[in-house]
This record gives sequence, C-alpha cells and structure tokens, in this order.
Amino acid sequence: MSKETSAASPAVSGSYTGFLSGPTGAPQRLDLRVDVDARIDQGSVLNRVSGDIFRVDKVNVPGQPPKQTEIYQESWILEQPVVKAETGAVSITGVIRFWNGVHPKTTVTIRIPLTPAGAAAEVTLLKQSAPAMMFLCPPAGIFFRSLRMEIDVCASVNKPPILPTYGTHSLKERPPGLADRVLTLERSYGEAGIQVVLAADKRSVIDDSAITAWTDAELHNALEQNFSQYKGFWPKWECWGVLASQYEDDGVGGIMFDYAGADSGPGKSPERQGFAVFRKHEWFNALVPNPKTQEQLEAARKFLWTFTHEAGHTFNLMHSWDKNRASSLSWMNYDWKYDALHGNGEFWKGFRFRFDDEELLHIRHGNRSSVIMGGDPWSSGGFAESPPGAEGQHMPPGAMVSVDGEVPLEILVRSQQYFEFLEPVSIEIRARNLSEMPVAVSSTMHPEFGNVTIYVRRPDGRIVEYLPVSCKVAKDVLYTLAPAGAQDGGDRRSRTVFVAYGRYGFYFDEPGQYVVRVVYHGPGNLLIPSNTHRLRIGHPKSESADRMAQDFFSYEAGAALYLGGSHSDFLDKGMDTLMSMIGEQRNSLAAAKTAARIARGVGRPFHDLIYEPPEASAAAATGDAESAAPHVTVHRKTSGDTAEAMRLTELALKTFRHLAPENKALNIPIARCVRTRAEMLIGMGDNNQAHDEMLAMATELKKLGVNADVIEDIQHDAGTIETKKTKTKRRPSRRR
Amino acid sequence: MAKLRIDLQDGFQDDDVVVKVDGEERLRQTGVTTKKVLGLAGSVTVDVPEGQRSIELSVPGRGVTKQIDVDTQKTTHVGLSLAGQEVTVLARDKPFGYG
Repeated sequence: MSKETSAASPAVSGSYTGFLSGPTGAPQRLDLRVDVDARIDQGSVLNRVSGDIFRVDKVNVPGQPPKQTEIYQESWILEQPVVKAETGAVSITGVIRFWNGVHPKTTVTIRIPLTPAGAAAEVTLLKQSAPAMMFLCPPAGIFFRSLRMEIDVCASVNKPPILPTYGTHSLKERPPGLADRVLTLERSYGEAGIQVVLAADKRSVIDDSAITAWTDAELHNALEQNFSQYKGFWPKWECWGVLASQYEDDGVGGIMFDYAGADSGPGKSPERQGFAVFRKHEWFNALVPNPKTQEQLEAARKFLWTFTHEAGHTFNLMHSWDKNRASSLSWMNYDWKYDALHGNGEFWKGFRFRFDDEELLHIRHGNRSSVIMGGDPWSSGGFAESPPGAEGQHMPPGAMVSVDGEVPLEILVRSQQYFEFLEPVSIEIRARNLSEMPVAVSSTMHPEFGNVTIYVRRPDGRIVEYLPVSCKVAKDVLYTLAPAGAQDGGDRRSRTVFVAYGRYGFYFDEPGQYVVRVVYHGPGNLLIPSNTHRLRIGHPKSESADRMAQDFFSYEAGAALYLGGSHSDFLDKGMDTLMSMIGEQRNSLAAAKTAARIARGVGRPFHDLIYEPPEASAAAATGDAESAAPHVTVHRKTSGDTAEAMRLTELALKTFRHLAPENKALNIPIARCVRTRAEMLIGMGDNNQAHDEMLAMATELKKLGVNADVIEDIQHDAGTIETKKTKTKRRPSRRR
Repeated sequence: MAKLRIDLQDGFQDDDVVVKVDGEERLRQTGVTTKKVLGLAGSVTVDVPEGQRSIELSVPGRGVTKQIDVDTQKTTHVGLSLAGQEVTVLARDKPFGYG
C-alpha cells in the first residue's frame, strides 16, 4: 500500500453508507468500509477498503408509504489502496476485486472530505466500457460492521458473572507492552472493528431443570424458542448466546452449535445463529464476580476467551490450526494447542487478546455472505482467511444474493429430502404473496424462460448454476397472486422443475448432500432469493445400479430424459438405456420417475425433417432458384406408442401409490402421471376412462391429505373432459 | 485407582476406531468424525490402576496402529489426532478443554 498523508490529517477509517447518485438506473446502496488509519483504540489498521452493494426495490402500496426492500448483490475488496492527502480531503484509489463472479477490471476512487464534520464520502466505481457508478456515502461510524447480540442464561447457572470482564494486567503471564484495559465481550470485538451491541432489554432466564447435560439438538431448540430474531428473513447481523450448565461431553466449555453439513450438526440453513458457554465446565470452577486469586483471575480470563471464541465461530471463523496457523496468538486458538508447540504457558505469555490479521480481514472486509450470521454455511471458507484449496470454491455470481428487510413475495424451493441413486431430481418452486395487495408473478417460473436461476451446491462443495438445455423466449404472461392468506390458496403458485439434467450434463449424479437455492427474477426488476434446500442422493443399492450409472449418466440418456422421452434416431441409445433401467430397477422410485418422465414422449407422435439435397443439374438447366434450394419435408416417423406409454405410466403409478402413504412428495408425481394418462386416453378416444381416472385421482389424493383447492382443481379439470364421443381431441385443461 | 481420559481429537473422518488400555478394549466405535467446531471426535474415560499404562489406538481402515506408554501420576489426559497415517499424541495432567 502506498500512503501519503499529512501527520495532522484526522483519521477517516470507519464505515460509510449511501446511495447511487449517478448514472440513473436501478437504485443501489453501498456499505463502504475504509480501513487505512487508526481510529479504534487498540485496533489494528489493515490497509484495506471494502464494500457491499445492495439493490433497492420499492413496492408501491396504495394508501401507504412505499415499502423498501434491499437485495444484497455482492461484495468487493481493495487490497492495495493508494491513499493521498489532498487539500481538505483524503483520496483513495485502486483496482478492486469482487469476491464472486467474473467482472471487468474495476477501479474505485474515493474522496473523503475532512470538513465539514460528517461530510459524505464520494465513491466512484469504474468498470471498463461501462458508465461510472457514483455513490454518496455519509459516515456511519468508526466500526466496520455492527452486530446485535442477545445473551440468555439458564436458571441453574443464573448467578453473576453472567458476562465476562477481565483486566488485561490482572495476571503476570502476559506479553510485554500489553495495553492495560478492561475487556468485555463488546470491547474485544470493538477492538476488532466490530460493534457488538448487547440487547440489554432482553435477557431470558431459561428453565433448564429437565436438562442434566445439553446436546446440540437441545441447544438449537432453545435458540428457536428464545432468540427473538430467529424468525424472519436471514441472513442478518444478529446472534444469540446462552450461558448454560454443561454439555453432554463435560470436556467442552463452549460451542457454536448451529451448523449442519459435513459435521452432521443439528442446525439447518441458516447457520451460525448462536453459541453456548457452559458455566459448569471446570474452567469456571473458580469464577466469581470480583476475582482476586490466581485461580479466580484465570477463570475470569478463560470466561472472556470462551465467549469471544464462540462468538467468533458465528462469524465463520475456524480454529487456528484448521487454517494452518497453529502458532497464531489468537482468540481462535486453544492455549494448550499452542503450548504443545511452544512450551507450557507460552500462549498466555504471548496472547494480546486479539484476532490475528487474517481473521480481522475476514470479519471486517470478508465477503458479506461468508461473514454474516445465517449466510454461508459454517466452515465453508472465510475467503479472506481460508485454508489452502478454498480458493477453488468459486461461486457463480448471484448465488449468495440475500434480502435485507421485508419482501412482498416468498420464494420457497422444496422437494423430497432423499432421492435414490439414478432417480431423476425435480424441485418445486413456489411463490407465495406475503403482502396485503395482489402481486403479479411470472406464470412460467422456469429457468428455460430466464426468470428463475437455480444454484446447486454439490457434495464436493462446488456451487454451480443449473443451466437448462433449452432457452425459450416468450411474452411474460403474468399471474396475479391474491393477497396473503387467501383461503383458496390463490396467494401462491407452484412450478415443478426438472433439474436432473441440463446444459452441462447431470447435476445430481454423485451420492451425497446437495443444497439448492433459487433466485426469482420477477417483473419490474424484482429479485427474490429462496430458502436453501438440502437434499441427499443415495448410494447405489446394488451392483447392477452402480454398473448402470456408466450408461445412465450419458448425453443420450440425459437428453432423452430432459426431453421427456423421444423417438429420435439420435437418442435411441439413450432411450434403450432408460428402458433397461426401468426394467432392471422395477419397483424403485428411480425406475418409476424415469418411466413417468418419458411416458408422454413415448406416447406422442414424432416427426422427422427429411432433407433432400438440391438437384444440381435441374438448377443449372432451368435457372430456377427454387429447384436449387434443398428440399425439406416433414415425415411422421411414428404416431406414438400409446400402449407402451400407458404401460410406463401404470408401472410408475404402481410404485408411487405403494410409497405415497409414507411420502407426501409423491402426490405431485401421481397427479402428473394421471394427467399424462388422461391426455393419452383422450387421444385414443377413450374420454370416459380419462374422466374416471381423473376423478379417481382426486379421491385418492384427498385421502392422502392434499389441499382442498388442489382437489377442486382436479375435479374441475375432470369435468372439462367430454364424456361422450367427440371429434375434437382435448387435453384435460387446467383451471390455473 | 486413577482416571484416564482419552480424547480422539483432530483428523478423524468417518473412521472405525479401537482404543485399548493395557491390552483391554475400552472403546470401539464406527463413523468417528472430528467435529471441526470443537476439534474433538469422541472420548473415553477409564479407571486404571496407578502407574505405567499402555494405550493403543487402532484405525483399521487406514492401517494405523499407535501404542504409547503413560504414567498416570503425570498423565491423566491423552489426546490423539490423525494426520493421514500419522498419529500425534498429547499427554498432560489436566483436561484439554474444547470450545
């Protein structure tokens, strides 16, 4: 970093926040963090600048002020700022790096006026061949980020001290020159540049009389019951801590229990919302409100360390040795681990009650998603301080967009939680109106139409964007959702999307855990992310299934599946593979879903385009342009094999119906399969059978507990099928 | 009698683990995995006679066996970590503590 400042210049470090002032376009907000000079007592200067960009949407509500929603877009960092003192201002320039996505070279120019006090920072982002983006950002404070924290206490340990406090000169085992100050949890983080605001008005005393030793699941349950911020939109800068009695393993003095993933924790996304400190651990046997003896002071020091360390995990900080920094004198190291390398007692003789610089880089300037509570999953890689190899976990742009504040729509993605190996994966995307006014959504809601983006995190941790094979261009037909709470379910609309195969092959071909997330791009630039949904792909249950994977996960089979079955000569091999699988894996969901998927294509007519090259002699002789052009005819290759299609749907339904009582996720496949059958029966002229099967399905799904409005839809659609012979072939129509 | 606590610490990933003390099996567990949020995969506390004791860790899936001798007058807590096929041992007279 190069820096030219005058000795008398007031410090400019801290946070600034403001809006896009030019050019015109979708409104945006920038949170800016300037870290180039000292403003925080005992705080380090990291010589970085970073920013988070939000898109601002306003929803007009008649009779009320417009509702503002902010959608987090992305973060960037300036790692080599050039800082110059100008007359009456400080300027900072440099080339920034975005954490995610591919961006053209982007430079930032920041001008911070020194007078008047509170003057806004003028920030210009300039991307190659794009208009400059200018933000005006008034100062927001000396800290770089701010977090609200609730601390509750269990009744069995509800005695002071509930929170830690420790004078850094209390014990003689300390590094030379250590600043003498009284540290609390707030001050520990304040020196790190993070403002921690303890919710003084909220301190629940939890009745733990029934608990002898806490498990992770019980701690997570306590978080859900007692954390006032648990519900609502995540991620957010909110955190919950509890002073509890003891953990199921009495060797554990504290834990950040809200994680899932590879560690098989009890949490589910959003993660990193809470932590616990265990008062009955032997570390705290001598803990008293006013410590005097060596033992009491060591307990007080450890109490502070435990609180700060566990809260550090909620910022997605891992232990020092897991980051190849086993010799780090940091809140995130264990004293005994350090001592094992450097000698007994050496940690406390060297520890300056701080995070190391890489950790400070992460919590101050790291990618927002990887720091904020409820953002990236635990240990997914704090990119500023990640262990070697994490840089390979490149994320597609937009994968971590998140909402700040309220939005008019909820986008929910769900599916069955477990899929058999080879079972085609489909997900349901549901839009639900959360507002009191009708809201229009795209009637398609499918990646083929470009209004939905689907992200998939694979078992190896890579996040990929699901890209469909087809891209469809159509007029955006809107569907209006009724206001929230509509009795007939009119406030919501669902779409099932086949995601097993796409442009780059199979997306769910490996056993293991996947995470799926959807971002909906609605009319009027509306951008709403969904929940993160976990599903698991099972291992092959037999050697034959394992062997079959070689042919199943191929272009031909994948394309045939994607297209819903095909009579194309080019996909013969793929269709043969799918049929073999259906036969060999009969009675499995993999076979049933595959059969259901390809049945319609098997039963429909198929046309080839026959290309006939031009007759060169005729063209030369007559000079006729038409005879010189290639001749293409449409040839009906087959009228469709409806008998085979019906057989496939029967096979599928047999398996679905057998499993449906235990698996509600099969209601949709049953409905789709019966509708496919009804369509083919109508095509065969058997309207009566089509009508009867639709009505039978309505009865069947009613018994399975499907919503009344869905049953009514099916009954309505059955009623549209003419039950006498007609010359007009009709598909069973959908009311909505 | 003395109490000896043996902690399985870092580096375990879905491993089958056997711990013997003085040749007697004291722990046999499958799917042992280190919780990275703690640096701890599991533990066993055993009552043993005072004096020199032999501890053996086996991880059959990795072909790893490690044997160490401890004096219970000086050692009450043993930490075992895996790095590939290497076992690192920490021994001390007070608890490790995890957080």
